[in-house]
Amino acid sequence: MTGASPKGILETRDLRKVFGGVHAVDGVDFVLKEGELRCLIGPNGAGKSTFFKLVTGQIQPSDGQIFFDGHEVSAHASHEIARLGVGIKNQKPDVFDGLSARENLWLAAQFAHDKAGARRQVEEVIERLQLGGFVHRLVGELAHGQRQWVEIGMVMAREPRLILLDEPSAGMGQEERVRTAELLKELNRTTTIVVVEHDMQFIKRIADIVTVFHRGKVLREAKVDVVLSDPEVRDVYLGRTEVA
Amino acid sequence: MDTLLVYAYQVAFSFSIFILISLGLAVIFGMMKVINLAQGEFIMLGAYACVVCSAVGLPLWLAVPLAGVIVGAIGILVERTVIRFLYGRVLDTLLATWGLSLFLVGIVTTIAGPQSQSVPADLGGVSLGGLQVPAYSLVMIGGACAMLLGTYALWRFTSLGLIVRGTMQNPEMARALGTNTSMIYMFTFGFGSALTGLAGALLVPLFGAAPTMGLFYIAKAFIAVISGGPWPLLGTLSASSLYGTIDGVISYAFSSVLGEIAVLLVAIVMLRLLPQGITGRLRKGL
Amino acid sequence: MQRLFSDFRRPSGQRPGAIWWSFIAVATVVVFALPQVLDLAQLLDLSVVFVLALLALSMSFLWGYVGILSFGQTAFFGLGGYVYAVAAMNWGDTTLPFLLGILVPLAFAALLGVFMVYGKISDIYFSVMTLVITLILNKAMRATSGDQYVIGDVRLNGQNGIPGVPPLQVPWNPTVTLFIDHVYYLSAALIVLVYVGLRLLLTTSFGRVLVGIRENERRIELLGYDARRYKFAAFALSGGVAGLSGTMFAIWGNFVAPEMFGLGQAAEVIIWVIVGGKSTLIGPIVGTGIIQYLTSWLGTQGVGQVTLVLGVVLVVFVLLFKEGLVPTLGSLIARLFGGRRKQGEAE
Repeated sequence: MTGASPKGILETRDLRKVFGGVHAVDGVDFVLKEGELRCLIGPNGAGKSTFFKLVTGQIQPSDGQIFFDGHEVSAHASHEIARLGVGIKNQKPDVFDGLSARENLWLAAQFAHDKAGARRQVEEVIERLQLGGFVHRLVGELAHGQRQWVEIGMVMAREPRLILLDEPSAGMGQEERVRTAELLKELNRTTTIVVVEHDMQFIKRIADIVTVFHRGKVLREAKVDVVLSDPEVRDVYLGRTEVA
Repeated sequence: MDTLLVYAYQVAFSFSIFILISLGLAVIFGMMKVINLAQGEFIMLGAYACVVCSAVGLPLWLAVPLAGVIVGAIGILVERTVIRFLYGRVLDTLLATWGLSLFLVGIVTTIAGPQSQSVPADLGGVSLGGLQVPAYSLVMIGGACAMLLGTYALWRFTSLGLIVRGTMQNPEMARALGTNTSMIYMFTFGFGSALTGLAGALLVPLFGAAPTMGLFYIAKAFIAVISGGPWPLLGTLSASSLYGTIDGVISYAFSSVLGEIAVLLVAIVMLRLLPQGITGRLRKGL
Repeated sequence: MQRLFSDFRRPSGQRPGAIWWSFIAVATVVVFALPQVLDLAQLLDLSVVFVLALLALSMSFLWGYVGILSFGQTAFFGLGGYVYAVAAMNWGDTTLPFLLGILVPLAFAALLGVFMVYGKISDIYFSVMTLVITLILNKAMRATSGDQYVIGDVRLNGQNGIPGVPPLQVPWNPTVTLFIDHVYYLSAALIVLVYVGLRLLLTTSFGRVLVGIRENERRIELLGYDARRYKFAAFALSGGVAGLSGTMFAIWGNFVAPEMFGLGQAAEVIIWVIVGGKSTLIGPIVGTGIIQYLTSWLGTQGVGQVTLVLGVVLVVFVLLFKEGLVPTLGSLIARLFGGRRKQGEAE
């Protein structure tokens, strides 16, 4: 039944998730090569976030298979998938509000390192993301954008092999978006990345290949320019959302 | 045959007690998500209301429904003064109703004293397969079934029931459609309290009324509603059948303590196997 | 300045500062000097506050730090007391029974943990189920009044409880038993040790993950931690602490009874923790003291139903003072002295 051996670092075969009659993810075949920086786009409700949650084990698939790095992880708990090296930044900031930013990072770093290594890793992330200004503050008291940075920092500190980012630039100003795009390109030198985004400028800045989700299915998958000029894509997506 | 009849009676008896003590909780906890730890004390209040009504000369068949009305009114008072500030804070409802439970036990003990009181049903006994049982127990079993069916009919077939179910599932939407959700919450809590008070009154002729009687029922009531799962009425019905059977058979064959312990053990295993409850696999609804 | 008080509000995994250590030192000295000025009756009252504060700590550790509200603490408390009583009365020796009074509840908590933590029961059902288990144990223990309920040479006696529980012997010299003032010293030492131990536990990797679970369990999972393992361990540990409290309670009163498992006991623990403040460890200790003294004062004032007052206290705190006394005072003082700066500025 499994057929061919899994391709790439991440592969899904006929992945499905049904929520009480709604086919949120409806037969997605997705292959990601190691080292890619892929963008997922699609209108709201297209199934992108559900797809991310399936891949990270936050919800269990109704049907289909997920392979990470050659292992089938379809029925794995989220901590097991995380241990294999998948990190995710969820759509809403998903952090430890009652802890300081440094403690947030420390909890992420401590998993993969010994004590001294974790401390070094935390300092490195603070430096790299320029979090120094608010590293002692409780994360719950930070602005939305700052909390996004803390969450990205946590994902980085964990040093995963695959990073999934659900709308990393949401709620950020233009300057921060440029910075985020640069950071993603830099991270991509060592890490495979999948990004869900709505901002076309942002996508053009970072992506090579773009996958378009629509109604739980993959509608198109091609180079960014090809996708953006595809009339069908414009119909389902650009027709509804104002795009810069 | 006789033994079978005796067991059938025991099971029906245990089942009806489960239904009586947990039906109000199915409404308040199952539908409203208010963990009412004063459930046992509402039963106790119903029992005392029945005792008081009888003491002033009312016949039992009048005292029982009146007890339901009185406890319903107390429930509405409680909802307005405490519970309505706590919707959505599930744990806080548990703590506040626990305080309420202590308060009610304290105040009833102060007024009525700690001793047990009762109201005789005067219906005599019936012989069932060689076992002499009080005729009133058959009335109680019938009453439990009637309450269950009545509640189901109210929720399922009346427009008020529809509004209540809609409000419990999506209060924002119900508000947007013009429902006064605060009133619906108040009514639903009062209705659940009234059911519980009615149950307490129905229990009086067999079990009496005492300030601490709630303690005997609270665990069973929660087990039944939790094991039932997301469909409060159907869940409570199926859980009561299951636990009523276990409790009835084991209590009769061995002892009532063993019956209760068996119920607890089964409940824990059930939760392990079906964390969503018996009706957890069904789509949400009544 | 505000760091001074952060420990009395919502400490996270930070290492406690010098001020906290000096507070501990002063408190320890005061507690151990008190026998010089108090008579035996007063020491007896204070001992039970310390003993019960252990129970409150076991609950607030789970609730305030891991975010699990367990009413099973009372079950572990009662179990600890009964295990000590039965074992000590059977064997004559008390050292092993003392240890069993901790280990058996710990094992029982672990067993429940396997079912409930690994059974993926939601937090709120966890609370209710632990309560139900406590009630059933209470009922079972009440039903043991017959002659047939005997463990070894000890009759369980149903609701009447077991009187004449032997006092603790000095392990290396069993002919010497602890007297009232010794029990006071022991319970004082235990409360200080357990408090400091639990506080320091939170600075370890284990403790920080526990705090992380309280803050955001999903994120902990997404970082690769198996949250269930940590919750399970914390639950078992808290069961052990509650068992220790029950064992000490049996030693303190020379008596165990089914009330130790009762709803009334469970309610009191909740009230101590809520009144003191669940988000700290010191709060529940303070809460235990206040409520214990309030209860006995109400008793002497001729208030018939103390539970009536306690019930009102619980409702009022849930509705109006959710944080509890110590954190509320802590923020108040911190605001007075600390200006607009916020907590969390360690290191």
